[in-house]
Amino acid sequence: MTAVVIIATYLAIGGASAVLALRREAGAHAPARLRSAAAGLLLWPFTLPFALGSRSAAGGPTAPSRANAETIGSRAQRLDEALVRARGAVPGVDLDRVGRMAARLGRRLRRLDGRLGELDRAIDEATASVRGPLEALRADSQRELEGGLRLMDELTGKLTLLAFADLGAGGSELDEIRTLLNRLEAMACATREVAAVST
Amino acid sequence: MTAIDPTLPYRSEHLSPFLPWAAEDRRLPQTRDEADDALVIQLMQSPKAIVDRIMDPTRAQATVLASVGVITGAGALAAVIMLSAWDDPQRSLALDAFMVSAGLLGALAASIAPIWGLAVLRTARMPITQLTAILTTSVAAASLLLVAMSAAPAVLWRIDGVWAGPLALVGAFLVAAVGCAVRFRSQLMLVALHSQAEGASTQPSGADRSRIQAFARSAMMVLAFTNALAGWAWLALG
Repeated sequence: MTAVVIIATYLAIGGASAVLALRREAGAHAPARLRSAAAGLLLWPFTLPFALGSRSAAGGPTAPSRANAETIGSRAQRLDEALVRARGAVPGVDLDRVGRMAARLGRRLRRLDGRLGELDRAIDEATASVRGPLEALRADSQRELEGGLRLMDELTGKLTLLAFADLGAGGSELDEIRTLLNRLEAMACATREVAAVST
Repeated sequence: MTAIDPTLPYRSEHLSPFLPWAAEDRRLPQTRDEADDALVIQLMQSPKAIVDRIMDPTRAQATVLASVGVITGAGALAAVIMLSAWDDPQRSLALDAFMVSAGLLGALAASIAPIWGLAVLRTARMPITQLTAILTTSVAAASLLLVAMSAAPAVLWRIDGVWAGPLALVGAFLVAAVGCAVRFRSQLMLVALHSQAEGASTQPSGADRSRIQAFARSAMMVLAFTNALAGWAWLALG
């Protein structure tokens, strides 16, 4: 008798949880809805917290930042690979400076990405009067991040070119890489000045 | 996964450890193995990857359900391996396997709400979804450990059923419990870090650490208690 009561109670709560899951997944395909309903019916101790919590509250501002971090990571890795390849192909050229600058650029972009996440959070909580300037700041950071990514891509492309160019013809690519490096350094100087002014 | 990248120049003499080499020459382009992203591998390997899954709201529930699957499968497998030592024709291995994994799941489910209450009492309140996910993945890791160790008690029981067998059995469960506790604590620390401001510090501050540790210890006591209840129910019914 006790067992029947316990099982009936369990299934009753499970039924409620299954209905919740069905309503929550209203837009999904039929098999996915059925699966989540079955999970809700039998495993409600594990699914009920998720069904009761709102999905939108948890997953707002962190999602784009995550994508950014992944993009930066993959681009930096590609740049590393191009660097290794170029070093193997052109042993005489000193590419250490390029490597150092690339590492610094990657670090800076990651920092920028973190700042973007913080700004997003701040914008969410900000009052209307502060929101405008905050959004302008955010747009600036976003633009800088995109510029840095573009620079990274350009450097990767040039290094790949250098790796596959003949030793004799590599001179012009080397010059272009030097120009790129100068641009990188200028960018680093500019941000340092901004940081010095803002602190 | 490709073993050799054909675009890389072949430079074996530079890779010899006895010749001068630059750090970059040794760094081959990393090819990510897709098998590394499997939940079972991550459960055994990297708490960091698990915490990444938990903190991603689109993947958290799937992770919990997959961990429940891992617990069910691993618990049943461990029960079959361990109980096969007894050779009792009266017992049905399938029923035993079902009872053990159902007991494990029941104990885990029953412990979630009390542990969440404990977290509130310890002023370490956390979203119950995260707590559920952390607990389930830790127990799943422990159940995988239990499967890995379950052959030893089975063999030792046949050799010496008085001392070595029972001691190995208790030892296997103890190691799994310690593994679960370590996992639980490290995942709590990582989640606490995750919630801190970006780049604040590499680990929680002293007061936070001790609070997390106290919470982890008491949570493990609750889990041990509910598991003992489940084991007692298994003995009484089976």
